[in-house]
This record gives sequence, C-alpha cells and structure tokens, in this order.
Amino acid sequence: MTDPPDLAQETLRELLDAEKACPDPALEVGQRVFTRLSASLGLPPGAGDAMPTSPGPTVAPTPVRTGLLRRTLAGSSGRGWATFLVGATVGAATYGTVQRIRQKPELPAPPAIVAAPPAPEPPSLPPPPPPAEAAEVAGVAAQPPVTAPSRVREIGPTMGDARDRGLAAERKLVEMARTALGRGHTDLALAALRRHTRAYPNGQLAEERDGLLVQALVAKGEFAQARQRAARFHRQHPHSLFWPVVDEALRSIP
Amino acid sequence: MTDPGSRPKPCLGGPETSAQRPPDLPTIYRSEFAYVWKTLRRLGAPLPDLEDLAHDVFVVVHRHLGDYDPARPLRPWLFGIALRVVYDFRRLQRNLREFPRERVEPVDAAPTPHERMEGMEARALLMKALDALDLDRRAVFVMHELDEVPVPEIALALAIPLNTAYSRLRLARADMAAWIVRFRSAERRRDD
Repeated sequence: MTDPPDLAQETLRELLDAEKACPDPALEVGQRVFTRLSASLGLPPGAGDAMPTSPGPTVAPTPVRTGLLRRTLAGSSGRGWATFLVGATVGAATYGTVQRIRQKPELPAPPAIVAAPPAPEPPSLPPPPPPAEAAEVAGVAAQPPVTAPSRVREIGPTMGDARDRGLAAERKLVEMARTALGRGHTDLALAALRRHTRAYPNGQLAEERDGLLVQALVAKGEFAQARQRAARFHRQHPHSLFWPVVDEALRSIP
Repeated sequence: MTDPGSRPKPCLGGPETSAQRPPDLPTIYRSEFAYVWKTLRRLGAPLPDLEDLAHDVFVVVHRHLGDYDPARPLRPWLFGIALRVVYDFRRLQRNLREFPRERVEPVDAAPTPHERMEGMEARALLMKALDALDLDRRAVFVMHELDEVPVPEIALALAIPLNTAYSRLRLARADMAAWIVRFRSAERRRDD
C-alpha cells in the first residue's frame, strides 16, 4: 500500500514549514566567522564598525587560497581549525603590519613639537597614559591611548613577524577566556581578559575581548561594573556585531 | 506549495538598499549571515565545513560587491554565490578520495534551548530528502519553496532559462514527493 500523492504533498509542506521555522545559527558562530573574515580581508580591528575603502590587493586573495588549502589538507574539523588559525594569522599579517607601522612611527620626535612656535618653557612630552589595568581596577572608563597618525610607510619583515606572533597571542588569550567562561570559570576568564587588556589595549581582538568582559562580569555577579563596561562598549563600538551578546548578558542581570 | 506563477509574496530582499550605492560588507554580513548559513546547509554543505564555506561566501561577496545591482533583491544574489561555493566544494571533495564527503548532519551546530525535538526531526527528514536531489534541482527547490523567491527571479539569479527553472522545480517537487512516499513505505514495513 502506498500513500496518495496528496498525503506526500502534505507531509512535504509540513517539513518545509518546519525548516522555515529553523532558528538562526548561534551568535557566537556569526562572530567567529566574522573574526576570521576580518582577518582574511584585512578589515579594521573594529569589526563591523567600518569597512576599508579599498582593501589591499595583497591581502584579498589570501582567504581563498587558505580556504582551499585548509580543506585540501584538513581531514577533521580539529585539524581544520588549527590550519585556520595559521591561515588567519598569515592573512592578517600584511594589513596588520601596515597598520602597526602607521600607528607606531619610529620618528625621533613628534613633528608638532618641532613645528610648534617658541614657548616660554621648554616643551615636554605628555605623561604616559595610565595602564588599562589600573583604570579597570578603579572602575574608571579608560580611554584608549591615542596613536600617532601615519608617517612611516616602509614595511620591515621583523615587524611583520612580530605582528603574526601578536595576533596569535591575542587569539590565544581570547580563546582561553572564552573557553573558561563557557565552563563557568569566570575568574580564569577575567584573568585572561585582563591580561589581554594589559598586553593589547588596542589589539585586533579588543572588541571581542570587551564583549567577553561584559559577559564574564555578569557571570561573576559584578553587575555594576558589567553595566559600566557595556556602556563603554556601546560607545566605542556603536555598530559592533557583538552587541547582541552584550545586550543579552545585560538582560540576564536579575 | 503554490503555483510558481501566482506567488503573491515577492522574494526576500534582505536589507534596504540604496539605488545608488550597494550596502557594504559588514552591513550585508550583519543582516544576511543567518540566511547564508541556512542556505549553505539547505544546499547540503556538511556541518563541519559550514563555517569555512560561510567565510568563503562572504569573501566572494566582498570581491564582487561592485558587480551587485542594488536595484535587485540581495538574497537571490547571495544564493547564487552560495551555490557556486557549494559546487566548488563538492568538486573538490570528489577529487579528494582520501577525505570522503561527510553526511549532512540535519541539526544546527548550536540548537537553542527552545528548539523542539519535533521540529528538529522534521528538518532532519527534509535534509535527507533534499540529499536525494540533484544540486541543480535542489537549488531551485530551496530558493522557491523555502526562500519564496519567484521562479523568474531564480532564473535570473542562477543565470538559467526560465523554462529550465520551471522544469527543475517541477522535477524537484516530484522527486521530493516520491522520496516521501518511499520513506513512509519503509517506515510502515519497519513497524509491521
């Protein structure tokens, strides 16, 4: 005995309706892919805040090559992830190197001082910004240190290497924090995030770190500080993809 | 299912787009990541590769954003890119005999707590049925039945003749119905 065609059509309709009601993928997945995408395409660290007007021609072909290579070489998802980390690091290196050089010019003195009119007192360098950790402990919203505008254009190979290592180290700390948070070890998560804040106050993964920090503070029960952090996060990253996660964490505060 | 010619609802357009300037990548990503993700899954992308493939789709989007006509709906354009990425992926997988293609897992990577078991089973069943389709037919079927894109728009997005699009849809529907009949018969035999 077989089903009449109408029954099959009806069943098919039910299956299609169920699929249409399929929930969206987890937010973390979208954030993870965007982080990779940012690294591959050399998007600015403020993920989602802005797109570069013209992406560098040397970094654009990287993702597909690494994607194909990754799938060619990777037989399991674990190996695929490991390969991805290497690929993402290499893909971000060119853009990152340029950015780093732009942010930290090796000039003997700022031109503003050289060009300044004679002052009654000898010019002095401004005091160094307070460490981010100190501001964090005090609960004060620390502004990111202002970096100098771009002046140097040369790319040194050693700086590129350092950039690679920096991104890998950043990623390691953020992943450590994410894993600890997922397992309920909020102290460990906060420690990793604070280490990241100390080492990379304006790192490529700063936005991701700040989002995780709000989640970790909420998980630890530090609601007032979490709200402060969230407010700062919203100020600094008004178009962030991590907003839903941050808002969700805030909503979970009793 | 409805008659393809009389579908009242227009295709999904995604975010509002300006007639002069296409949306930028982060904007598209924010609004369409979930759509791309689901589309890849519906086209049979294996779960362990979904993140890689979603990444690749947006890389292609980034490269070809200048080719996108903002006057046209965004999702069919994204669907076409996703389909080509899946085509390439399958071709690569076929050439890699040492890494056989994994079966499509019919569940999401991170199901929400509210997700009901019945819905998951239904989706799993639909994915199995879709697996039985040829990718060309599958693409038209998914686009029309799930994304509710009118057939003329599908033909345009996939760069195929209109009659071919209608034909693929008709055949896909027949294949799906036949698969369900076979499935139910097999279930009954198992129960008896």
